[in-house]
Amino acid sequence: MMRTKLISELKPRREITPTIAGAKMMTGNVAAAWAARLAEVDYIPAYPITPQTEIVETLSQWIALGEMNAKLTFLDSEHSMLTAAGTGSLTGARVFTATSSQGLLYGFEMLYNIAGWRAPIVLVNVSRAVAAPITLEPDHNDFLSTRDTGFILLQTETCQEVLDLILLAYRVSEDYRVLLPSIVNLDGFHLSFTREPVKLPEIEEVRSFLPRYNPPYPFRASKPSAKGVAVLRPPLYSFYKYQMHLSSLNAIKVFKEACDEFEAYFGRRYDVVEKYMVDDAEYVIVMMGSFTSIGKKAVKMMREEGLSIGLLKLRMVRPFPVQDVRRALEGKKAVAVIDQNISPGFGGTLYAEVSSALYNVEKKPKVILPVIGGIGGKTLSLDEFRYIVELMKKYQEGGEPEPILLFREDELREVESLLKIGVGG
Amino acid sequence: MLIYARFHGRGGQGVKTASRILGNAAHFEGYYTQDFPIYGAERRGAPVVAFTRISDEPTPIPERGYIFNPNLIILADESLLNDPIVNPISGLQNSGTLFINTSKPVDKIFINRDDVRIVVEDLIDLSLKYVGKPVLSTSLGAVAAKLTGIIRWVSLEEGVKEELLEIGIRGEMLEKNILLAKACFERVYPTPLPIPKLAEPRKIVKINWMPVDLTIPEIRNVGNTRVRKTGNWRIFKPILNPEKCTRCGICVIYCPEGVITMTDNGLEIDYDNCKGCLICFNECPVKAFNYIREVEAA
Repeated sequence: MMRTKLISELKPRREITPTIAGAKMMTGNVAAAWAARLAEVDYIPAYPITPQTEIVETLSQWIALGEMNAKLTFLDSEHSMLTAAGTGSLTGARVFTATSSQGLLYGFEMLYNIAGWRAPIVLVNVSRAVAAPITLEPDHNDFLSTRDTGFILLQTETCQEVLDLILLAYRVSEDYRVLLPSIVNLDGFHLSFTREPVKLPEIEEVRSFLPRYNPPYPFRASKPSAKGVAVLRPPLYSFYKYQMHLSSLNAIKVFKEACDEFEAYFGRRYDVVEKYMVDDAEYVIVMMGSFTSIGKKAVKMMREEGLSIGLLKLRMVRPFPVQDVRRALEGKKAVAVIDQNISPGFGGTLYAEVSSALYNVEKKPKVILPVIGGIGGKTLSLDEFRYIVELMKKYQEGGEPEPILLFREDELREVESLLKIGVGG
Repeated sequence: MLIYARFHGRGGQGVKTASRILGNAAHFEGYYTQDFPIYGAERRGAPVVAFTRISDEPTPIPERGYIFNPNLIILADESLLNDPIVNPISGLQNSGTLFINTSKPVDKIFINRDDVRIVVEDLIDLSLKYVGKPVLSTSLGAVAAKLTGIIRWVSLEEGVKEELLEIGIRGEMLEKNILLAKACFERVYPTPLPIPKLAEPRKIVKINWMPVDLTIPEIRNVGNTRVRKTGNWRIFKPILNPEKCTRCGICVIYCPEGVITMTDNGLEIDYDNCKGCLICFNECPVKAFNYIREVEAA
């Protein structure tokens, strides 16, 4: 009989892994707070909501201890919090704030205003699925509801990425070619409360990478101006709105430039998308957020079994990186888009975006498979990724794919037993 | 991956802190580490689960969420062992280790698995001895670190310090916790843990439309909280001396669980639901309450 291999036989004491040397264990929430601290933000309007609260609690503690110099104010709702954030930014302050789910929706009206005012705040959203039914677990419906607000939308996979993308978000938002606010999203629990090793950049380097915000027209008593004005001529509204669109498109180039500089300063490389084993792959899975880590593991395992597969991670959602998505996916046999969100009556939001990006491409993939997975925090497993590949192969033979939900037999059994407790019978 | 550790306990017992102590220790030992808790709306006494993943790869851990197939399980509260909802030993790998905090000897622990190693220790007793309080976070973290077999004392000591300083414990209290960690670390012995295996493949099923009696999120089978006894979280049992009691009713007002009732025959305590917070003991103006350490779960 073969003996089970045991851990202690494999690994005696070893040296520190170089990639974590100097890193500190911290949650995604604390990493977000560190980014605000390193960006030396001036103003933090706040309102608590799970799973975001740890961010403003951490900032509040640092300010109370004198470790951070910023003005933190608790407002009476997310609506007033976001109003304060936008107006604060118009005075020329660098503004940071954070919320989640219902809180984001409660302040929703102001998102359009802040973007329309061209106030470059950075808002961290800690994803939590939207009620009803009520849950604390994550999916991306809250984040993607902001798709049309004019905010730059960035999505993170690791705690390190949370910190880094917030710094990058300020760079992009405050650039005059863009001058639009950003939302940096991190998944509740899987990043917000999960600790991983995070390297903190030196403050001098951050100062040099991200100089103080220099507003084009700061609000000053000595130099009055009227902001947030009404435009009662329709062409004027069209003009302003389309300028927002063009400025948003600029953010792709500005982000890429900032990423080059970021790498020179801090040694970590980012882009609007991340290609994992994509270049030589015949099949590609598109997804975003913290569950991408699970996807990468599945892709790696299937590669080891000889399958030609890769994973395309979307880091930037608005502006939508159409060219990068096209170049990554053209010529592939099949693409599956995993949406960790659901638009009832249609399916997933990203599926529509990826499909529209590919429609006019000459060598477009034959199959684009719409997949709904991981909503309400439901975990994804290797089984589900294998199933996606089976379907991609099946539809290559023919047929029109419909949106499918990733759901396992054991999970259905669990649901059935819980329903029994809840409704009797 | 080397270690998939899962911690089970109740809110307030320090399970999250324990998973972070193990996480810190593994991090200082030089491994890529990830730790995180899962809990619902915060409530002391509710079951809590936390996880620590330790990897020997030089890249971020490509996994997230619940650990279904741990090779190490740390159970903070023996009363959860047979809880069908928590099901703390589910998925424990063949030849993995199950640690239970209990005052019982190991031959009095019954689980229907004979392919896993069970380790027991009375951590409440050790915590009372070294710290003077029934704090489980440090002791659970220390036991877990030792049972992995890959963490040295120096890394654990650093890990305990970092975590406790972060939650505001310093000075003499910190030193006592370090002594407690050392005692726990020396008390248990690791046996090699199995290399984590993949879960058995599971089928993907199609979800079809179902009628409204099952698909509106509402509970129509109401009133089942009464069968959920919360008294099994108790570590200390308050005992009322009726001769000293003046029936002033202060304990009735202060009891956060509402388990003390004034009757014609004096005060009655509902031990099925008393969580042993000892607020009655602390608030009683004539010191009519005493308490005892509860060894058997209620």
